[in-house]
Amino acid sequence: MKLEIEVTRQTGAVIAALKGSINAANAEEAAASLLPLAQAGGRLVLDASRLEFISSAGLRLLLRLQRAAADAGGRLVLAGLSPEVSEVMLVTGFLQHFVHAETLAEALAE
Amino acid sequence: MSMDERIDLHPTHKAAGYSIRAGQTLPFGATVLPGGAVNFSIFSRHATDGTLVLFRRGEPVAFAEIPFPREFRIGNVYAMIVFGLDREETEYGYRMDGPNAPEQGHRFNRAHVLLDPYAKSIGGRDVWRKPPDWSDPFQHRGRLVFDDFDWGDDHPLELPLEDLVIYELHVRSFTSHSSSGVRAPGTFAGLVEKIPYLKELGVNCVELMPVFEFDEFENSRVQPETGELLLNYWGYSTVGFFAPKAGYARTGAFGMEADEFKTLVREFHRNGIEVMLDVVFNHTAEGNERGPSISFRGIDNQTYYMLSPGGHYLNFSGCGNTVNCNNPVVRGMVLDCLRYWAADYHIDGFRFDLASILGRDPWGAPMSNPPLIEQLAFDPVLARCKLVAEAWDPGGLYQVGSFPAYGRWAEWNGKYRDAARKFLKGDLGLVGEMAQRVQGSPDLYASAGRGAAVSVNFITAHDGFTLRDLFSYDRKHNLANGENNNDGANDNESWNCGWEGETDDPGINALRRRMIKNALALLFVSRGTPMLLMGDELGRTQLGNNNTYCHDNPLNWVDWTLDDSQEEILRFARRCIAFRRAHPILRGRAHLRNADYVGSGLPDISWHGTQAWRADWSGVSRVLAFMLCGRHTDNGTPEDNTLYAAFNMHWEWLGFELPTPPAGSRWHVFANTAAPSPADCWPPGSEPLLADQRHIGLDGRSVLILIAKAP
Repeated sequence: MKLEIEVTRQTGAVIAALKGSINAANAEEAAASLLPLAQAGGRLVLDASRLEFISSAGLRLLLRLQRAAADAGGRLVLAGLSPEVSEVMLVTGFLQHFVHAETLAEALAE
Repeated sequence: MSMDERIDLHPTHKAAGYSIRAGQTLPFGATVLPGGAVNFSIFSRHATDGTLVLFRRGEPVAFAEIPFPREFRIGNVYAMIVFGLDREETEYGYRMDGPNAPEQGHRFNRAHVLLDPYAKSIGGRDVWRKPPDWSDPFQHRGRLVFDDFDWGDDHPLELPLEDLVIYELHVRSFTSHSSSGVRAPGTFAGLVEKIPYLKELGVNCVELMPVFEFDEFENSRVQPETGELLLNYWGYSTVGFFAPKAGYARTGAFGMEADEFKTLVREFHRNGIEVMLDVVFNHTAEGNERGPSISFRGIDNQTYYMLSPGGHYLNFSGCGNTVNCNNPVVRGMVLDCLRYWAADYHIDGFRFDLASILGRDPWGAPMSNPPLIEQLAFDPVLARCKLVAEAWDPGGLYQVGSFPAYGRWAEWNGKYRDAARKFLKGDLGLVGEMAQRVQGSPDLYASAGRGAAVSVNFITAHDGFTLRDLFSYDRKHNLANGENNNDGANDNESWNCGWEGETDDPGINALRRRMIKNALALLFVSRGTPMLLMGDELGRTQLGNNNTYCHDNPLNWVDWTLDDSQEEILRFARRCIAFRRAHPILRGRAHLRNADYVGSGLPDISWHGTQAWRADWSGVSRVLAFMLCGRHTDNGTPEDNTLYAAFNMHWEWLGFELPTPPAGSRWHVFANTAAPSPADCWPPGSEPLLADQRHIGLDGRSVLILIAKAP
């Protein structure tokens, strides 16, 4: 399965909408487009409402982004995680590392 | 290319469409290197050649086979770095060439694709009970793992052994029942959801029955009478020593079982509970001559297994084969394995199944100074892990009290179990032995310089009756196992209280309830390290089955719907554990001396009976009472209350004269198993004053525990 990333900019936030699936096959490519956004500092919202599956490598990418954002004095917020993705992140210990919001609107208000 | 980029991270060869180079011999196994290449390293002393075989996840046909070039072998280690592999979608195994000469101990066959003994993640059974595709030639498939879990500030808890209350549990059984109310029943994630229950119970160590990768379909069969599918359910048959059981993980199908299990450990630690693993190094899932070639037998049969001179498997485990664990290479594997679980999974301790086998030499003879057991005792990484031996094996070794301990090893005290069961049901001639058992068995351990905490005291464990069944059945009832009731132990030392099995008779049920409470009271006031079997605090029954190794059904599952009687037992168990944790005098590390060495005027322990200061040690006695002087706590622990415990295991009422409590204090009642609930036990601090400080009557088959404190 593929991953599409759509980046939009709002006042005070960059929003990257993730659609499809993140796995080892596309994680590096995703990192190439997402890491610069995280390294820019400021608020990066990952809209995961159309993210269907995230593998182990994908979760590690999210953590890398989170660390990069923090290093740059910025902030990463996850928005709209599906119940399944959220549960996988919870039981594998990843969810606790993230600020996450139910919806994009809440993430922007966060 | 930057100045610090390593030139050895570049390929030197091409094979099967992949870039490769000679690998690093150590560590064994598959290691993902910085930059994404993977180092594969495998040992075989007797192979003549080897081939790395690569598959896409779940596919029966390999996408690449890469023979090890000669220059990739150093000594007996074949090592290769492969570039450009998908770390999530790749599964790997090996073909090993060599002699197929069973009479010489060799069983090489290049038709078999073999699992890496060091595989850290294993596919093929990653969804519990999903029927395997038996036509797939590669059943247990090595996978690559990310070893970068973020532990935060977590570390093994290193609780003192004497302070532990161990709870033995089976991961699936604990939450598989629909009444468990967890989101992911039967998984590591489901177990995490039950931590609040365990915390409220008061235990501070869970001992998990096997969680290394095993095959639940090993010897699976349909029970002809019930139609039930019988499985290798408990998992005492290891496929891979370095991989958590993927089918136990909610996320096992995604290959995230390592992260899920590490999260489990972290959450237990966060709640003050240690995680101990029941590890099975004595045999593997490959069985005897007729068993499958999964891994070891095809990689180096003669190294990994104990063999007779004619090449037959020696069977000290009762399971077909015996791991040759005092071969130096195999010893190294066991050590690497335990270090990996201690360091990468933050495991707090290990209980070694049939540990006496670890002390046998390659021909099966017991050694006086077994190198593996010694090495584990002195290993720097394992230095603060608990090491607990099941100090016997089916080959006839019985080493309770004599297991080579090197100042480190604790033991499952099988003699505690046997004596306690007999004493509780009123057998004669047990009082003297029971006095040793409640003191941490100094008769077994003191002369070797071993303390009291090394005695892991238990009355029930996964092998044998549950506590409820111990007082509901005279005999085992194992027909559901499909072996004509021939399996399981016969020496249960159980008593059915007057009726074999479940009954509506309120008198019998009340007696059984009281017997369970007597057992819990005995266990939790005994010096040593207590272990409780999952569900015994809930009156869990296995309907008289004392060997439920094959049942993935309510015979093993904890049913969380409790009737009043079960609530009553749970409450009693919680309070006994709270009492133990409140009173350091019950948890001394050293042995009691039966003397006053602090000038309190009372010996650390004194013995009583129906008359104070006069124990009846005779062969016709069924009474034991003792007083623990609270000023004799171990060095460093604060002064405690003085405690008194009396056991009337006779069926008749008996009057007891009480010893005088220390000046300024009076006797208060913590527990009286003859009293109707809720007056049978009290939370710490609320124990009521005993009206008559001099005499008390104990009903037949009842236990009284008193605490001396200022009124």
